[in-house]
Amino acid sequence: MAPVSTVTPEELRMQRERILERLGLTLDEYLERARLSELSGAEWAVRDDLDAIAFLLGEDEFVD
Amino acid sequence: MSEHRALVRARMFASELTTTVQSVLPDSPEFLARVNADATRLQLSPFEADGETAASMPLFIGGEKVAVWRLTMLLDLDSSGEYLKVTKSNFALSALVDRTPLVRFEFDDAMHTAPAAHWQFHGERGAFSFLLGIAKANHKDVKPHSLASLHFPVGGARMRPGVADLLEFLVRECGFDALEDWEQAIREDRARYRTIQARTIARDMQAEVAAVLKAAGWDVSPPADVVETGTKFLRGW
Repeated sequence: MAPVSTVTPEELRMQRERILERLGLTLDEYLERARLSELSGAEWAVRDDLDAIAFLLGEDEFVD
Repeated sequence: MSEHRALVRARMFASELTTTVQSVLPDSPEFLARVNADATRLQLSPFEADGETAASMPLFIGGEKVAVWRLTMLLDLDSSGEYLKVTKSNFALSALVDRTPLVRFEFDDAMHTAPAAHWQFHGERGAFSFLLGIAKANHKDVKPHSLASLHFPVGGARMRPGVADLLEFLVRECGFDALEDWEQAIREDRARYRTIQARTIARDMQAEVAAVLKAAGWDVSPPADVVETGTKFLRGW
């Protein structure tokens, strides 16, 4: 069966910080760019990760 | 202490997903599970070597890598161990030359402003944008500059396409290379997925199912309390 890794809230928040730092955006700026359908290719590439982080943190605010 | 039963089921689900994808598309990676600290929510994806970044999967035509696709599933687990639910899933196809997706299929069970299961196409068509421009001028909430903002509905939560349907789309419709016997893997995965969906629909629509079974000659009697949860199934977009 597939292995499972456990991730803490701190690790998830740090991962999100690293992603957004690479993009040079805040989370609110990213979500606003997504809302306006203005994501670049590099911003699209991290979309699943940001969605998953929000979900695992129980935030339920996804990118769309 | 034994492992959370829902977690065991999630691990099995990830293994089945890996088997199906690796039976259809060449050089496909393994799907792994990442769970939050209180074991209530889980991510299924292929991951990069860092163990935290969802990985793209290669697509080939004539043996040459020309595109990538992504599939991430987000699942809720319950404490009873009986409940394992896909809450959100993202599928995207991208060409190597541009990471902006070409098409996306997404399911978001909590979505209310758009259909829960939908395709989005990252293409442009002048006439369509023109129509949306007229709607925008009439104060409608549309984005004429982006047809990708349109959510094309496909069957709601219960009748949405499964992974096998997405894989067959990649092979049959897009022409990406597939492994020998890929159709058998597709058939098996589709049957497994649709059986699960049919059971869920039966649970949602017990009176309707009982009536159909009676008409087919089955002897069916109701329990003391019939719990139906079909409203969302019937009315959800």
